[in-house]
Amino acid sequence: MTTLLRVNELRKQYLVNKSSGWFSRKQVLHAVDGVSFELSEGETLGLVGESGCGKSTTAKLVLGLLEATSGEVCFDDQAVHSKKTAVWREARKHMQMVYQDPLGALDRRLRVIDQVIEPLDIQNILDRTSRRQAALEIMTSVGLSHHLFDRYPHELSGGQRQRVVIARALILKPKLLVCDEPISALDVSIQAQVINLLQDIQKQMNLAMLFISHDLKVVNHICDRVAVMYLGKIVEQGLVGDVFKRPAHPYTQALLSAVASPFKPEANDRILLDGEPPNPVDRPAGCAFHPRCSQATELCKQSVPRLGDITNTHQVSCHLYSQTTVDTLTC
Amino acid sequence: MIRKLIQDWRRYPLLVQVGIVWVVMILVVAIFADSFAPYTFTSLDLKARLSPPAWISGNLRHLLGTDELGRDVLSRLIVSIRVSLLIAAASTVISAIIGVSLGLLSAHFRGWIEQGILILVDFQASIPFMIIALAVLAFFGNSLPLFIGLMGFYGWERMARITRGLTLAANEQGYASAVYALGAPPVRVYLRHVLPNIASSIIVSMTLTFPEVILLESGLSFLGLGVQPPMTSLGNMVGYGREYVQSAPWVLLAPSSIIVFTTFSISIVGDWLRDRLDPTLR
Amino acid sequence: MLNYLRARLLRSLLTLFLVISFTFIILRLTGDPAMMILSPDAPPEAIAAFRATWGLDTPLWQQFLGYLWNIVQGNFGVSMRNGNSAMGLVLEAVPATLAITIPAFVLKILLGIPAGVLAALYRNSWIDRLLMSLAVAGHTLPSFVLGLLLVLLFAVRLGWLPSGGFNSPGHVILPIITLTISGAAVLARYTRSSMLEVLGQPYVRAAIAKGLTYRQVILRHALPNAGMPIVTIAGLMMGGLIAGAVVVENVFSWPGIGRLMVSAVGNRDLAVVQAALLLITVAMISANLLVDAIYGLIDPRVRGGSGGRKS
Repeated sequence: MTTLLRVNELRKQYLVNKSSGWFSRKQVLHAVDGVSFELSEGETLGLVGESGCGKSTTAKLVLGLLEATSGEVCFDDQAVHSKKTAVWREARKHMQMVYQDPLGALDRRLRVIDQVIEPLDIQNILDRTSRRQAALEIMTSVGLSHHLFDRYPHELSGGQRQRVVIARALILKPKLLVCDEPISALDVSIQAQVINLLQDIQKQMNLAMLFISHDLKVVNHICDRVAVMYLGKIVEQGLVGDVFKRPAHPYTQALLSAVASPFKPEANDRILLDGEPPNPVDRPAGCAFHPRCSQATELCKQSVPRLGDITNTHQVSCHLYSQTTVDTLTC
Repeated sequence: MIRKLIQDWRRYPLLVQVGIVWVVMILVVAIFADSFAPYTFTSLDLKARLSPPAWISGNLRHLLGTDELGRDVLSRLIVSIRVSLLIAAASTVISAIIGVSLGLLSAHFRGWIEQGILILVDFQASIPFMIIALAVLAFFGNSLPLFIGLMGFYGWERMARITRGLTLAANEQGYASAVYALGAPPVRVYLRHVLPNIASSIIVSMTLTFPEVILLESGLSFLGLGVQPPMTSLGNMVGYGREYVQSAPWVLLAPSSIIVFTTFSISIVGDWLRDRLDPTLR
Repeated sequence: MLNYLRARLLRSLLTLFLVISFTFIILRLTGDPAMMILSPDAPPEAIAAFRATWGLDTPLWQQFLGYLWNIVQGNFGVSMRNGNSAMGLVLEAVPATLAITIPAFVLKILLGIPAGVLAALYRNSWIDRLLMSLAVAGHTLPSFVLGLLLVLLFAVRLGWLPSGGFNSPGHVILPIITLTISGAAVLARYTRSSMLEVLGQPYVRAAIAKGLTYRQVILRHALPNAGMPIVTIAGLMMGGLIAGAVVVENVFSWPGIGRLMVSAVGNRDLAVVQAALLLITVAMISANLLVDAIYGLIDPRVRGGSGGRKS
């Protein structure tokens, strides 16, 4: 499998006002703070973490929808731009996004079939009749029935709308699909169908997928590898089986203990985290997780841990484990 | 959609039906003014000065009486309707163009451009337009094109605010951001997606602005600062008629009634349209 | 809160500066200010003297500074008509305007707000419909038409009240009534929709469920919350105290700022127009600032402002 996507030390910072008014001090919000990972063709990488940990921001940075403060994103051995130039627009053919809110992502005034055709219009692919044909095919393959094609978004159910969004993303035959919480807005009964659809499509098209979610059960089902994020950093990553069965980082352990238990056949005492959910503007010194960690040491309060190997398919960023320095990746 | 509106006619509230009928009538009069008016609006009939309307004691030659120069009130009224409506229509369109363009620019470019435009919006919103209008008229005089241009600056700030808000929402999290992610250039996004989506809000705002411009123009013409003779407008007529309020009240009552009924009808229909087009709008 | 007020103050000053610059620019654009402010047949020496005083031969930015300096001193030049100080004329006219706008303002509030509250409380009943029809009528009726109709009725037909001028107390009545009606109509509509919005809120139902009487709910919960948008509108009206009577003053030949300004415009008496424009702007800005300050006091959301979390 060839490596399709390389992300290296990606950082995104925002300046926010501390208090309202004209003369307040600005503070730095580290939305994404040194994230690195790789993704290969046909592989699914999950990004999990609580709200505000930087998952969605990372997704947008990967696609070039946001400009990174520092760091690199390499797709197909070429750097991904973030300015919306013609080159960037051309690159859209290879990477697309599926959104959390399908109704918001669609234009209420256009029929869904026109919206699925639109990417072909924009990228000037095929001729008019073939475009419609391609749209018909892709919409059928995502499981939409014919009579829905001429409807408007608000006339469809949530699951159907998401299928439309998926069809629209896939019609350009991208190599990378970024899914940002694609099922959290859907009814539970529909979620499974959409997940299965994504899996089927991935196999058919050999798609690389970046799958963002806070739902660990789904991630376990659909992802090959997973990265756990906390306050903008990856604290643990590896094969799904490794991370979920033998979680190394205390945060991962706490997350998993909150999930009903196919992972832990032994009795699960729920690990409750101390303290408040963190404020990304006012980060703790040292390891960002230490205020809530029951195993924190003095070292944790002072120095920031780096990602190191436990096995060659499992890395963690925690002082409780001995580590080696991470490789730097270049394009 | 238009067909549906016509089909549902019977279900509209009575007041709205009356309003629509009135507005249509006025529009017809305005468009075909020349065919309706029995006399040209400047023709004098000095022997018949200040004669009352036909049903009071006048004769059928002047259905609504005559003014102090013997001009037929009915004819002048018809032409005035056309003038006032034209000015209001042109101004509303100009105002929409200014407002939507500035709103789009501020939402698209953000940064200094947005701040500058917001300051202008604030400025316009904080001073009563009548005062601004008076100042401009004082300095520049009031040829008709200038006057229409001036009226065109009424109300743009509302549409700019609406446009900016809706465009920001579309760009940040909504359908526009999704279309950008498909690789569309901004022009396509705005023309194909954003503008059609905000159109109904803008139209609603225009139905608010239109009657207000009629009132504004009438007020200024009444004060003698708006439409100048020999052109005549509704406000103009009221202004002239004012001197004869005791002796010949019909000279000012006719245009006044037209102003009142027309703005009232447009407001009623506008309110109702607003509720129909989008019940979540307030 | 202080930050908020500071921001508002800066904004107001910016607006004021914009108005002054706007006036300056237009004045220069429309031709030789000397010819405009003095009459066209002023003797050449007067024109030369005027030029000297106002520094019309110096570079533009210097002229602007000189202009600002003059304004700060209240010097706007003299009125074309009678040679009196322009600002002086304007200031003389203020009391007359206030004599009708202040009572009208009070009446607007006394009539409009209770009407709106009643209409909201008895929503969709005949009271509501009646009040709202009156409100729409009052709102769409232009003030000059209303004024003239009142004149027609009370002065001409019935002869009860005088139709113009300002000699007796009776003269004041019709202008005040005219001003009151349209303002009260706007307030009534606004109050009604604000009340309706508040009454639909969950906390009102919670209050009723707690066992409060309807009257207590209205007085303690609904009114204060509905009050805030109403304060805004009332505040804006206050700002219009000086400017709002332009048309009405003309209808009734009332010697206030409105009438002064209109005749100045008609005569192209630019000195007076400038003076009036600036005075009105200052009044409006001060009123807006006052409203902002009140808002800041009563709305707790405005006061605090900690930097929020972003995610």
